[in-house]
Amino acid sequence: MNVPEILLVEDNASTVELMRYALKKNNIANPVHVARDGAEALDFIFGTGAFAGRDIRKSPAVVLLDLKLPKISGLEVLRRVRADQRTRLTPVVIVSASREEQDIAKSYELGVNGYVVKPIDFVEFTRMMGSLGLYWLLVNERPSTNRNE
Amino acid sequence: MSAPNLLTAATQAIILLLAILTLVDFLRHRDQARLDVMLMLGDLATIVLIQLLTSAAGGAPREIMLLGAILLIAHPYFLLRLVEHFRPVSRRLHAFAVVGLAVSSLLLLAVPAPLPAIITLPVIAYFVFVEGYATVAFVRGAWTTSGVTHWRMLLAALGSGLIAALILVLGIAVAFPEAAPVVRQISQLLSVSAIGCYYFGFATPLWLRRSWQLAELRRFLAEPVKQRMGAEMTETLERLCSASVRATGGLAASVVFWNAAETALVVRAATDARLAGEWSIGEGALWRAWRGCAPAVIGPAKNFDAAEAGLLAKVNAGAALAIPIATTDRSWGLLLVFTRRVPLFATDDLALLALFSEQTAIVLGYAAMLGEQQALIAQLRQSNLRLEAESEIDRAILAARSPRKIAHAALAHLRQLVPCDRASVVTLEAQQQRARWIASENAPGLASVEGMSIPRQDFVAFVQPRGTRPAVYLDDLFALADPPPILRVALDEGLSSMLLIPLIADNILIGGLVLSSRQVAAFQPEQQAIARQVADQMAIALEQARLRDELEGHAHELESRVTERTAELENSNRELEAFSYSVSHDLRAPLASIDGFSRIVLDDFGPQLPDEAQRFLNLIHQNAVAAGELIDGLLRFSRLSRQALNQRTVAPADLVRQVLDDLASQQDGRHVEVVIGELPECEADPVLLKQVWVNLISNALKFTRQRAVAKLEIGSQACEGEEVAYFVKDNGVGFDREQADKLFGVFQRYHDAEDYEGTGVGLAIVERIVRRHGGRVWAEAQVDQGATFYFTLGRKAEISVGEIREV
Repeated sequence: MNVPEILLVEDNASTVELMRYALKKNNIANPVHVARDGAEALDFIFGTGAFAGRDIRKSPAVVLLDLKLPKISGLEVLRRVRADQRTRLTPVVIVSASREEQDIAKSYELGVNGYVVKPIDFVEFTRMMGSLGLYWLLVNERPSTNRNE
Repeated sequence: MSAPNLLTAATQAIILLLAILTLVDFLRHRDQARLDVMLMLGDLATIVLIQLLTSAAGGAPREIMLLGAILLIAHPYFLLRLVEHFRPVSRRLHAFAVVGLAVSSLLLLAVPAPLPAIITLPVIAYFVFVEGYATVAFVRGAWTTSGVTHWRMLLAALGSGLIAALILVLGIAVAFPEAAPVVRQISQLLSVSAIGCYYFGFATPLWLRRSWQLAELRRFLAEPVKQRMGAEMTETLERLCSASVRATGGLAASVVFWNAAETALVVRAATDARLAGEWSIGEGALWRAWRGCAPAVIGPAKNFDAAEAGLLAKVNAGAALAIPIATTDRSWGLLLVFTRRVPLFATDDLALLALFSEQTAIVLGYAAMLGEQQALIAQLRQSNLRLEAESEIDRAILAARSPRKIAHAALAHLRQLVPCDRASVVTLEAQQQRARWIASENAPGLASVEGMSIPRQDFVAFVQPRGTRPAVYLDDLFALADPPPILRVALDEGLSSMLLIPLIADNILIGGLVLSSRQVAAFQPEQQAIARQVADQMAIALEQARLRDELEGHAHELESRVTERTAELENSNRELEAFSYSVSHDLRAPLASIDGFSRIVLDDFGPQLPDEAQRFLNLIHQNAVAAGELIDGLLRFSRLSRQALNQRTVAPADLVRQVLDDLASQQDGRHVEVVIGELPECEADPVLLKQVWVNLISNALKFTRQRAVAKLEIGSQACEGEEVAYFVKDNGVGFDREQADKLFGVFQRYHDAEDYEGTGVGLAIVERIVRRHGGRVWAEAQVDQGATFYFTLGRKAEISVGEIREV
C-alpha cells in the first residue's frame, strides 16, 4: 500500500467519472477515493463516521476539492483540514468551475496549495488533470514527518 | 427832673415819635390801614402836644383843655377803626361809638368845669367800653394769627387795655379825690406801659420783627422737616396754605400754578374748597405779581380787574396777598392769601409769607429733584432687571433645543419680570389643525394647561382680526358680554386679565404667548412691552427650532431612504452574485460533462462510429465550448457592474497598440491596414478601457474578414461640449442604420453566428464600461459601407445608480 491515494471530493457523478477517465488517460493509476460531500470528505480525512478506524496518518497524496458541495462547503473542509495539526500539511488543490475572484482569494487565505478552474473543453480538462497528477504524485516531494510519527 | 417827670417826658417823646413815624409811613404808602394807624396815634400825639403847650405856657384856655379831653375820648373810636381791618365791627357798635363820642364832646363843651361826677362817669364808662371792646378784638385777632402780626396785635391789645385801665383809674380819681396821689403814680405807670406797648406794636423795631419772623419761620419749617423726604407736593402746599392763613389771620389761602399755556391758574392746594378749579386771569395784579416775581398786595377792591374780583368774591375777600413760590432757577406758582381787607401789617405779612414761600420752593425743588432722581434710579433698576432677564431668556432660548424647552425657559424668566398667575405658550400645528399649549408656568392653585389644544381656527379667529401686529389685552374677562371659546377655561379658573401676544415668524402666525392673572387690569403698558419683546425672541427661536427639526427630519428621512435603497441594492447584488456563482458552477459543470463525454465517445469509440455520428459529436463539442464562452462573457459582463472603477490617467494610444499586438496573431496573414490617429489622454480604468478597445477592434477585424484589404482607422474627434469621442472605423460589412440602437443590448446579434462567431455580449460590455465612466457609445454605419463606433468617457467618472461603492 505504498501507492499514495488521491482524495477526490466532488458531488457531480459525471464530473467524477470524467476525472477518473482523465487520470487514467494520463496513466495515473493511483487509487482514487471519492467523497460525495464535505462531511464525507472530513470523515475520511479524520477517520470519523463511516471511516472510523481508518489510519489517518495515511493522508492522501493530494485532495482535489470542489468548492460547491452538499452539507459542508469546500472552503469549510479546507479550513478544518488546515486547522488540525495532523492534517494541516495535506496538499489540497481546489478544482472548481468558479473563476470568481473572491473564491480564489478566500481559498488562498485558507492555505490551499493550488487552484484550478475546470475548463469546459474536455481536451484541456484532460491535459489539466494530467498536469495535476504529474505534479502532486510524482514531482512534488512531501515532508516525511507524517510517516515517522 | 424827678423820676415821674422823666417818665412823663419819655412817654410824651415816644408818642410824638410814633405819630411822626406812622405819618411818614402813611405818606409813603397812603393806604387805609396806615391812615387809621396814623389817625389813632396822631390823636394821642395831639393830646401830648396840647399838654406840652399848656405846661409851657403855664396854663391854657379852657377850650384847648376841652379839645384835649375830646381827643382823648376819641381814642377808642380810632381804635375801633383799626379793629375793622381784621374784624368786622357791627354797624350798631360803630354808631354807638360815634354817638357816644358826639354826646361826650357836647357834654364836655356844655357843662362848665369842674365836671360833676354824674357826667364824668358815663363818659368814662363809654370810653372804657369801647376801648375794652377794641382790646378784646385785638386779643382775638392776635389769637387767630401768629408770627409778627400776632405779636403786634397782642401789643396793640395790651396798649389799648392799659389805656382803658388808665382812664378807669382817672375816673376813680374823680370819684374819690382823696386817692389822687396814688392814682397819679399808677396812671403815670399805666400810660408809660401803654405807650411802650403801642411803640412795639405799631412801630416795631426791625430787630424785633426779625426775631418774630424767624421764630414763626422756624415753626413753619420744623413741621415739614420731619416728612420732607417723602412729602407729597400737595401735602407741602397744603401746609404752606394753612401756615399762611394762620400767620396772617387771612380768610383762606391757596397755591396756584399756571397751566402749561400760561392762560389760567390751576389751584394745587387750598384751605377753602370754594377756591378749587382753574381760574382764567387777565393781565391784572396777579399776573404782574407772577411776572415781577415779587410779593404784592392785591387790593383794595377798586384796583381789581373783573377776573380777580370774581376770584376774591369766592371767599368774600377784600384783598389778597400774592407771593411767588420760586427759587432762583425755577418758578412754581403763587401763594395767595385772601384777607378781608388789606392787612393792618401787610408788609410784615408779605415778608413772612415770602419766607414761607421761599422755603416751600426749596422743599419743592428738593422733592422734585429727589423724585426725578428716584424715578431715574427706579427706571435704571427696572431696565437693568429687564435687560438681565432678557439676556437670560436669550441664553435659555439658545441653550434649549426643543420648542417645549425654549418655551419653558422663556416663561420661567418672563414671570419674574411680568408677574402673572399663568404664562403659557401656544403653537399652531400645521398638519393637525390644532392650536396646542406646549408650555405652561402656573401660580399655586392653577393647573398646568400644557398639552391642552383647541381647534386651530378658534385661536386664529381670536388673534387675526386684530391687525397685522396684534396683541390682545383683555383687562376684565368677566365684563365680556360674549366671551369667545378660547377664554372659557380662563373664566372657569377665575382669571380676570389676559394678555395674548401672537408669535409671528416671517409674517406667519405660529402661535401665541398668553399671560393671565386673577387681578383685573394686571398688565401695564411697560409689562406688555416686555412680554412683546420676549414673544418676538421666542418666535424666532421657535421658528429656528422648527426649521432645525424639519431639517433633521429631512436628513433622517433621506438617510433612511438611502439605507433602505442601499439594503435593496446590496440584496440584489448578493442575489446577482449568487446567480453568477450558480451559473458558473451549475451551468459549466454539465457543459463540461457534455463536452467530456462526447470527446470520450469520439476518442474511444470513434473508429466504430459512422462518419455522421462523428460529425454530430463534433457539433456537440463545438456547441458546448460556445456555450461555455457565452457563460464566461455573461459573467464578465455582470462582474463589470460590481467591480469598482479604478480610474487614473491613461494613454489610449498605448492600450490600442497592445490590443493590436494581441490580436495580430489571430489574423492568419490577413491584409489589415490600421491607421492610428491622435488619441488624447483620458481618465479611465485602464483594465476596463482596454476591454473596450479589445471588443471594438476585434469586432472591426471580424466584420472586415471578407475584405481583401481590411482598413481600420482608430482616432478621436471633438464633439459637443469639451468631450472627446474616440472611434474605431472599419470598411467591413456594416449594418442597417435602423438597427443601430439594438447593437448594444445583451445577446443582440446582428449577424448570424454561422458567419460571425461571437456571443453577442461584446458590445453590451463596451456600453456598460463606457456608461460607468459617464460616457456614451454610438455607431454609424450603412450596409456594406463599413461601420464606425464612437465612444466618450465623460468629463469625469460618475457613479452609476446601480453601483455600490465599497468602503
